Amino acid sequence: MRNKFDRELQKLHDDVVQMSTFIETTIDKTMSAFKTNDYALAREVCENDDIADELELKVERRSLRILLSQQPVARDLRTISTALKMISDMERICDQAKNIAGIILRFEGHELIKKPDSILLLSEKCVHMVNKSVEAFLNNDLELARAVMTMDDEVDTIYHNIHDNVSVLVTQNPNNVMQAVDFVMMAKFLERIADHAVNIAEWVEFNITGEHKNKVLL
Amino acid sequence: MIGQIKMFSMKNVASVTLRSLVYVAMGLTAISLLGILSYILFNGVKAFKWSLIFGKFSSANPSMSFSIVTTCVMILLTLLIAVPISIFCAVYLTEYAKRKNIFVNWIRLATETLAGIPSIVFGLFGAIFFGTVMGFGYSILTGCLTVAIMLLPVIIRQTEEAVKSVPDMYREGSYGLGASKLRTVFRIVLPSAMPGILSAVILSMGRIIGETAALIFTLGTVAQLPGGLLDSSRTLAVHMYISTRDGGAAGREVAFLTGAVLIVVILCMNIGASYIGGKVGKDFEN
Amino acid sequence: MLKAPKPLKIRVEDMNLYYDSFQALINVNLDVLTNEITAFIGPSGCGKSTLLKSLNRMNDLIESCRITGKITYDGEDIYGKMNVSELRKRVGMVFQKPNPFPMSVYDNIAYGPRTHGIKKKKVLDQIVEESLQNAAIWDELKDRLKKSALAISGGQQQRLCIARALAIKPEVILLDEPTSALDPISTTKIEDLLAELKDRYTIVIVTHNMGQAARISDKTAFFLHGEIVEFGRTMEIFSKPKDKKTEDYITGRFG
Repeated sequence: MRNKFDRELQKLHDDVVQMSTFIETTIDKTMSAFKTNDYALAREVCENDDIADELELKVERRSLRILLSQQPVARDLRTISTALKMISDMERICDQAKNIAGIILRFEGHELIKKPDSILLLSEKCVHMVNKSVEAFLNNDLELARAVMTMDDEVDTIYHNIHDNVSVLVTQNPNNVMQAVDFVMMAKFLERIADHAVNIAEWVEFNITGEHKNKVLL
Repeated sequence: MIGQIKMFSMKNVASVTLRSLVYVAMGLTAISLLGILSYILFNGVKAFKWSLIFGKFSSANPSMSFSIVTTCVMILLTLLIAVPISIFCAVYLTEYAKRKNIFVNWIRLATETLAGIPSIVFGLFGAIFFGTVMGFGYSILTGCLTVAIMLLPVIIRQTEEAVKSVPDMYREGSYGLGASKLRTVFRIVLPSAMPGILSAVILSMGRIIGETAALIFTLGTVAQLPGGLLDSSRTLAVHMYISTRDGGAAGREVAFLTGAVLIVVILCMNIGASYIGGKVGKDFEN
Repeated sequence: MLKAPKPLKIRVEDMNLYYDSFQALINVNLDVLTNEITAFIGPSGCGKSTLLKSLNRMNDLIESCRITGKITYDGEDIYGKMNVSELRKRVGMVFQKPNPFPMSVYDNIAYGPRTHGIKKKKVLDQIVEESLQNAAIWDELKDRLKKSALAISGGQQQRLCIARALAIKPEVILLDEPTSALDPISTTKIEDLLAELKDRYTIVIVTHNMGQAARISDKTAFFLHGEIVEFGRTMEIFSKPKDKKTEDYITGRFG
């Protein structure tokens, strides 16, 4: 009955899946570059940023075209607005990953101070949140989406700890104040990634329930 | 390919044949109608004398003057009786009667049967019922009543058709504004059906003018200007018949002249009616 | 966000409607609130037009129609003591096909008031102008009041019909797919008009155009096989319908 419409929606879904796979691998690459000081990998992340922009544009185009031609309502309307909102959060995640990769590249050729454990912990949490929010979207999993939202508190606590302990880092090695500041910035970027993951989870919730942050939008 | 060409030419032959048949039919119709018209008019003009049309009737001068008056009176009175009754009846049948009403089915059956009965039977009935039983004798009144009954089925059927063809959305619109059925029928439905009703009336006029058999029994054949409703007289058509029957060669001439006058009268009436019809329709639509 | 609830105008309670043995409406319950636009949607033959017509008793015209249950108008039973003509004066109706009477624009508008006993030329003149202005068509027709209403365009005819309905000063206007025979521009004009009229009238509209229901109505009722499947805020119905059948219908998965 509505073959063309369903095909378009399927394509849109595929595009979003493609984008989510892309952000997952980008974050993975960034974090392993950080852990293993793999500067080539970090450089790759920086260069791949264009791909994210292209994927975002692709989803936007398709969504707008469906809005124009099909005037979707109900579930279709929610799916398309979710895709549109989610895709910009995904693109922002890629931007943040690029920023982190940029910081890593600044370490190249310098002697590194000890990486704070809490940063590694933070990065693991963030990657986990992104993965789970994407999974929640793929599986239309309301429980999982809500779980992602609660994880954010933990991330915030870790970030604040890092921020407060920056003085400790500086005293450890007063010659490397710059690196200490970079770690704080990196932590900030990671915290932002977690926020975007929460945003994605919130849109997944809207897609399923029609409510966004417990508010009726329409 | 060959088959196709053959089929094509077969088709061609058929279409040429059909088209020529259409032309032949049209030609025959035109020739016979024009032939009759010109024959009557030609013979009528040959017999033309002012005294025969406007003079006083006597056996020496069988003038038709009284008959023209009688014809007009007959048309007016008959329509006056038949048209209102027919319209109300048609309105009842289409707008008021329930679909499965037995009474309505009887009326329908009656009107259909009446429409197929030869006019002489009506004449016989009129002569006995109105003439003898009611005591009107040979008179204008008897003639009018009889012809009116003859016309009822015709006008009813045509009015019914006209009323039925008024789109239901007009009625809905009227009811939707809180109008009653009566108001809807008289303000919306009947005005919309007016062109159809008018054409029924015009047709009826033609029938009144052309009627002879029923009138000979009811109106009678007395050659006089009627002084009242209970006087006998002749319409033009009856005058024609009597002249042909009783007048010999001279009578036949009179009949032709009467025929020519009839044709002229009918022509005038049709022109007048279509003028009025156009005007009514226009008023209503513009 | 929360506003005082609008007063109740029409209430349909446990209504069933039969044509001979065919049941066209099954246990319908519905509240129409004052100054709201309520839209009826649903596939053809689902009973939405039938319910609309019951609201001003246009179904009385159909012999085989039989109704159980109750429809109240301002608390008064419309199938009880209320006079039909009085009811239709308060609940006006506009039909699917523009149906101006074959008479002048002026006479079309004046027909309703004349029906209800207004004869004075001065009063009628004023009503005609007011109604045409309310229907946003005065400027287009003021020089053609004596011309035939059949000579104007379809869109103008439909707005004329709305003006004609307004001329009897109704409180409720029922519209049965009023734009289904019109081009997009005329449709937009009528939708704008309805949005304007909403402040002064209560409007119930049957429409096949889902977008139209979403654009102009406050409440939407979805009908299927003579039943109301779902009735609620239009925005809710069109963003997060509760019933699967509603969702399937409005997203075009069936029907």
